[in-house]
Amino acid sequence: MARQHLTDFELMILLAVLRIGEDAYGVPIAREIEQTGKRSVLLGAIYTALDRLEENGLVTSTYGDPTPERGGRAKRFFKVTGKGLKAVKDTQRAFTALWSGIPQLKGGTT
Amino acid sequence: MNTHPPRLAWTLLQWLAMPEDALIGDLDEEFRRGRTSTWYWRQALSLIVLSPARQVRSDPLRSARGLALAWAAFLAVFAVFEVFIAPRLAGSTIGGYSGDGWSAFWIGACICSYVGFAVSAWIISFHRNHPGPVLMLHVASVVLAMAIAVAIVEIRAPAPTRVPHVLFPLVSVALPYQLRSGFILAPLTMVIVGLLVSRRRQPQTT
Repeated sequence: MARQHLTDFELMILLAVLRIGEDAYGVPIAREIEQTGKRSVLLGAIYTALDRLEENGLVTSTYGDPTPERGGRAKRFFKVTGKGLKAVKDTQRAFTALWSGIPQLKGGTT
Repeated sequence: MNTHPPRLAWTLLQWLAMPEDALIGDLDEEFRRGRTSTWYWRQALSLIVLSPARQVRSDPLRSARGLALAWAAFLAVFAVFEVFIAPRLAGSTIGGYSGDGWSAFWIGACICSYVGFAVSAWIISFHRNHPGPVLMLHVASVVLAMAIAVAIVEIRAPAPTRVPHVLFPLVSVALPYQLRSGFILAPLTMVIVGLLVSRRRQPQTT
């Protein structure tokens, strides 16, 4: 059975895939996480997480056409499923609930 | 601008990690866009280090079979050493082995352990279908076994006391540790043998 809660890395990946849209494959996903998340990522770790998310039905993947600039290798495009979207929303809700009512976090972002 | 990733990293990645084509394509694309060789090496090494876990997850039966075969080969080499060679070398005694100094016995046993590592890597690498990740799994198991064996031998038979005969299979794994470099040399031996076998079987690399 699929897990109900996402790890922070899985959540970042799902959000990156949603932000990128149609062109979501390994390279832009990694760049999106690096730029918005301010952290360096390993492509292998992204693929491992995406494989896990796909096994759990949270994303689907399709292969594009091979291109010369990639040494004749195809891109693997990812798309968030309805179940994945629900998981993101559930996680956001859980985080928001946890966030609220903490005095130390009121009045600023730091 | 260099358009081909570091050749050694690329070769090791292809053979030891065996990642999917799309991932290799992503790495190549990023490298052609200006990422450094250090970046490529970091990505490749992380994939190689993670490959045993991926291998177990994707094909547990083949992983178990590969490990069993490799360890059987390693221990068989040591059985041959124990029966035919050890009795001829000075330092071996009935019911136990002296643990002090570098006698002919210890040198022979240490060489034998490396022969065992090489044979086990050779057997795995002879497999037709993507042997690299299974070999990396074997390497990981050897390093783990070496660490456990060293701990047990240190507790049971700290130098210069004699190593009980019953611990011999463990000692065989722990022997490279005697050089204090076994944790590097043993995996390196297996990877080099595996690469050589692999290149002989598949001469084309690109």
